[in-house]
Amino acid sequence: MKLIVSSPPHWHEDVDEGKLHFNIILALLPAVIFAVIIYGIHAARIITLSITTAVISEFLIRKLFRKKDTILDGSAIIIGILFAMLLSPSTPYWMVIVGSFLCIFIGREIFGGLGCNPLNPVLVGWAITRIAWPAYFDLNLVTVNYIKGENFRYPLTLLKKGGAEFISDLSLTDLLFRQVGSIGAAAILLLFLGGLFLLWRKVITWEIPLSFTIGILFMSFIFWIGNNELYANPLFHLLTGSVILGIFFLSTEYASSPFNRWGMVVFGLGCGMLTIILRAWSNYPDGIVFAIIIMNLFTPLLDKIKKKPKSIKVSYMERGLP
Amino acid sequence: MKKVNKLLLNGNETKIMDAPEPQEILLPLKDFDMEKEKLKIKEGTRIITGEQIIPGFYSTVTGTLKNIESLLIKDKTFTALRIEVSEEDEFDPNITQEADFMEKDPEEILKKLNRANLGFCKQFDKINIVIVSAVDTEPLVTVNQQILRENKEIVSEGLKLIKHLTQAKKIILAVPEYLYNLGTEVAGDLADVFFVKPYYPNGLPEILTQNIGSKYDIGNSLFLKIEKLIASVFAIKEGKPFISKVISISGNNGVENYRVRIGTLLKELLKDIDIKDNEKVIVGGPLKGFACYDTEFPIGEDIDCVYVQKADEVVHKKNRQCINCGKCVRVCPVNLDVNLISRFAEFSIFEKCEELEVTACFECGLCAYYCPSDRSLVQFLHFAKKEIEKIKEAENIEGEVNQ
Repeated sequence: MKLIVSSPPHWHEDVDEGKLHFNIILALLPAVIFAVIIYGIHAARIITLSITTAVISEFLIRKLFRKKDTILDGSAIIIGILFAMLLSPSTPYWMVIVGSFLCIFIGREIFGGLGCNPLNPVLVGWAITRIAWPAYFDLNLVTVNYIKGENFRYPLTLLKKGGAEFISDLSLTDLLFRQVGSIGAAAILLLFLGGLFLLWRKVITWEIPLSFTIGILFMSFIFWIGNNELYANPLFHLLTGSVILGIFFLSTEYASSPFNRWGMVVFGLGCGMLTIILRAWSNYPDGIVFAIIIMNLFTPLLDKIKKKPKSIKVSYMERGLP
Repeated sequence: MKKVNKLLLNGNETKIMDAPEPQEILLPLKDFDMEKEKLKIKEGTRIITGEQIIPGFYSTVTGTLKNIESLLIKDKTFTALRIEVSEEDEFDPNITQEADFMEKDPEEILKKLNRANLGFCKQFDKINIVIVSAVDTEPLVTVNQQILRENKEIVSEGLKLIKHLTQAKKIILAVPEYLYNLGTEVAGDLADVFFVKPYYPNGLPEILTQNIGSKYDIGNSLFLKIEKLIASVFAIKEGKPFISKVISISGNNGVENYRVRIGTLLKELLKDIDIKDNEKVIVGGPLKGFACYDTEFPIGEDIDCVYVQKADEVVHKKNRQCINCGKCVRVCPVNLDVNLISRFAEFSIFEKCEELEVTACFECGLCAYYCPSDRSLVQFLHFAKKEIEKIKEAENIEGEVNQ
């Protein structure tokens, strides 16, 4: 009789990183399908190209670095999808390939792979391509050819160019169902449902999404109170650009976000407030990506916001107990 | 599919049955060094129940000493006595009863109790609170609550005895929430009742002390399991030594409670259960327990549970790369940075582990239970603690040499 020995515990929760990533992919799927319906073959082309590049480059890089193959955990697929969702539907194929490769390589693998990245890999790749080829990211310009109808303007560029007056004709249904923007930002309701799904499956916790939302509402409220001709109302800020995607999927990336409750709250508030500040005062119409990257840098510091370790002394009445 | 919360403590009523008397037992001697001290008894000596073998250590059966051997339990080696059990129990006449214990001096009672193998501390000094726990420590264990259910009348007497013995200001009886009525009924005005939510770590002594400490001024406290409370009443009123222990056995037919002689070997206890290759025999619960390499393992007085895990339930840890999800940090009851400590331990940077106060860990096992990367975090933390201990020992020796 050969018994198995191991250290405790002898039970394990029925969860592994593959399952967590599968849930994230599942949560993103409705929005992906919606994007393909709206933008047609162009969205499908970018998303598939991005996923394929991410997976293949992860495979090759890990081969090159002589590390264990980790394709099956699904993290590269998530990076591929999220990167594609931040692009405009007219992005050329070479930029998708370069960006997706940079996400995996600069964003993650040079730091050691899954879980070692200091910044969200998707955002790193996106930021590099955004700065290198800004023309392809002018969402107002590049989406002209793809959306038929009158409201084919990117709301955040309108806000940047003309203040609150320019966006006054955008109704709530326009924002919710017919919003122009990057591939992933269109399906706000579906992304929101996906986020709730992640919360329900306990893939992410509620602290970052909630505090992120509060940060955005609070900061945009201050701007709006100060000058409501120049700045938009809080709800507009919450529903435009990649905010919902950022709240639920980009800012909650495990390795680059803090994991203690108050650290998460500060992180979320910081992300939200920085987003609005960047939208108001920077050159970029949508500041959410840079806001999250900046807050990612604070993560090691925010991880220190926690209760001190305490040792609990128990004096037993009997001897013999360990 | 119905969702099962594995960490819910088992609230089912399971009757305590008597296990068959063992053929032979193995008694590991605690705090005994074979090289420094000498055993007075030799092989072939007849030993009776309750007889003193070394100071503070008593036999739990009547029989003849067959062999003196060494036994490895967890990471310590013990000198163990193998005793062949004879049919009739003969009790040591030195163990005497005391019907009206309230009149006697506490010290005298304590001596009597310790003579009956209860093994309490030598003396009690300005005790503020005594915590009597009827909460089970782990999900598969139903020992303590069942003892509370079956000994309703004796508990109040035991509470009186403990109060008299320790001269404590307050006694707190901790019971799980589903025993609300029973708890209040039994405690009466002798003790305060503390209700515990029936989830896993809440039953552990450390967590109980902490939770009670947030409600009461705990000061100098003592922790006692209800089993010892009942046993001390039997010892003082009827002169019965503490020789058998209730344990929960989880095998083929769910959880079963048995009253087992201390020192019984696992192979005798589990002879009805067909143990195959690649299965685990776990002593002490699924989360804090110890996986035996052999069924030649004696039941000690601190063991509540024996769990035979089938081959398809065995968890094989993969130890993949940490993904920094932070779940371990959030569940840790003593707020350790488990993710950092485990990696420092993995790469043998023990100074950092000490800085992060790894010594506060009491190995509840929650971090490794939740880890999505299947890392054996408890093992890393345990390893770091042991290494730090060794480093400190070495430093002490070095300091002595230098002086």
